[in-house]
Amino acid sequence: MTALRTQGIAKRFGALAALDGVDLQVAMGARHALIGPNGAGKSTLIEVLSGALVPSAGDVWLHGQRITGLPQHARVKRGLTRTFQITQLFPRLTVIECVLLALLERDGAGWTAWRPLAQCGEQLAEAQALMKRLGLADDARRVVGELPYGRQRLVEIALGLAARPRVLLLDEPAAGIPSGESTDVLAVVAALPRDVTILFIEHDMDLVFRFAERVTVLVAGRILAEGPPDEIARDERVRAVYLGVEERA
Amino acid sequence: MTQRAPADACWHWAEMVFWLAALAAFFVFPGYRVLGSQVLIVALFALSLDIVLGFAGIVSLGHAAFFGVGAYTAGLLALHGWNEPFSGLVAATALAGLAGFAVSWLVVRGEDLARLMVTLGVGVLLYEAANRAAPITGGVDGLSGIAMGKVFGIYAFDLGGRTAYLYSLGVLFLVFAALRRVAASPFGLSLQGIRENPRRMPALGVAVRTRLVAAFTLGAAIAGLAGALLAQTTQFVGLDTLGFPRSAEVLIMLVLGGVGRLYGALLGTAAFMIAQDTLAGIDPLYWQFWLGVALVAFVFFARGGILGAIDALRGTRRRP
Repeated sequence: MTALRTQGIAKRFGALAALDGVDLQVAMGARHALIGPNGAGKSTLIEVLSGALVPSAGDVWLHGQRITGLPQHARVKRGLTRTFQITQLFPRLTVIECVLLALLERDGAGWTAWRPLAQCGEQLAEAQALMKRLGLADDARRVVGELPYGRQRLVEIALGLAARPRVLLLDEPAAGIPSGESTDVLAVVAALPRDVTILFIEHDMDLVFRFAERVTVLVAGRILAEGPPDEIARDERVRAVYLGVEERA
Repeated sequence: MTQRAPADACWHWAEMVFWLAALAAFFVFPGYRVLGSQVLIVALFALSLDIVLGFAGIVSLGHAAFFGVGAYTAGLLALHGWNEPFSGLVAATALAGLAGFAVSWLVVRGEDLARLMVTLGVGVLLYEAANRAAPITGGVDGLSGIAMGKVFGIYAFDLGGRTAYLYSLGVLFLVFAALRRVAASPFGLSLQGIRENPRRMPALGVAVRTRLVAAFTLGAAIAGLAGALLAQTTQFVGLDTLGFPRSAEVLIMLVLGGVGRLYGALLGTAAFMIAQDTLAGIDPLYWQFWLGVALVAFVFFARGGILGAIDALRGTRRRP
């Protein structure tokens, strides 16, 4: 069964067609990479899948249910969560406050107005465990806006994981993380249980070939090729259009 | 690097000193009880704006609209024979909250500039409506001849401000304690999340608009409560309760004290109104000039208002 499926997704910004008929299928439990040259429409596709952008045409299904018109927050409630290419955090909150915020919202406690945070023991414990998993335990009480960018990226990932998603969309999760640590981050993500489906955009080909089991190549708003990583690596069209561009860059 | 523990429910000793000082002022400065009660009432008003601006991040230039709704509600009720004070407060709070709820749907749709315009517009609209509805509101003459009942049926409102001060302090403290608890709750945290990054919140599963509607409604209700207190303690309601200067002034007081920290609203109001009173005494003609100088200087030398300055002196940044 497919976790996430799109049919004929198009997104136009004025005269520019960012996406031009994308039919994507992401299998349940997949570790699926989305690659392509700059401007191929990868991030736009993530925005459409997450509900931040409404597509000009086409439909999106999540676990067989059509979610095309569903707002972003409602998709999160159905288990579809995304992280951002450029960190979208809460600059004046501390790391633990950010993580708590995500956990409390996941548990539907966001309207609880009469219980102090200090008494939300369950979520506090989970926040500690999650920060530990990502190596953020020492930063728990630091203000997020003052952290180095690499650390902020980890908080970004933590917020994505906190939602306990069934489908996780990661927009360049390792971008901005020092190269030594990027493998660790993706390892945390890859270690998620198999009932979590992961679709990620990544520019670092080493990471793609290490973690992805299936790769979709997007070029100029269309799917150029799709298959297992080794097949994609051998694909002449991909090499010409995509890898060639990388080498010249 | 700044560190901060998650908000907790325990009261810091400095907070207890603050409230005891507010109570002690009643005995130490008996001649200033009238001014004192007004400071307490405006502080409650500033507190209500702190929920809207400081926590939810909604800029408003028309917050006095709800203060005025509360003031006229309490004033009209008393004028028409319902003069028991506490039930008057409840009615005024409810009506202002209702007005806030209605307006909030317009406010939360837009971005900052649109919000400024909408709140400003609603404020001007209500002011003009109250002006025209002279048979009900008294127009420019306001509502006078209000006879309030006794607090608890025992304490009559007196010219010396004795009842007014303690009544206002009691209400302010109770509301503050409640808001303090709400601010430290998951709901309070979610409002700060929206203020810090409204774009991220939907990705955490939050329907941002309904959360903002709740915050704006709460802020409006408490503004109405403050307006009702003013009407009851001064036994007069003027058009100025609805006016733009009141909206602007409360914004200045809040910024002066420090936004988003509850105590900033109280300290800013006290500092502003006491400075206003003192300067008016020293230089009756040009006191507004000196107040302006003081405000500009303060913004330049103390970022984050009075609380920001205190933090800078202590070398930390914490929230009570």
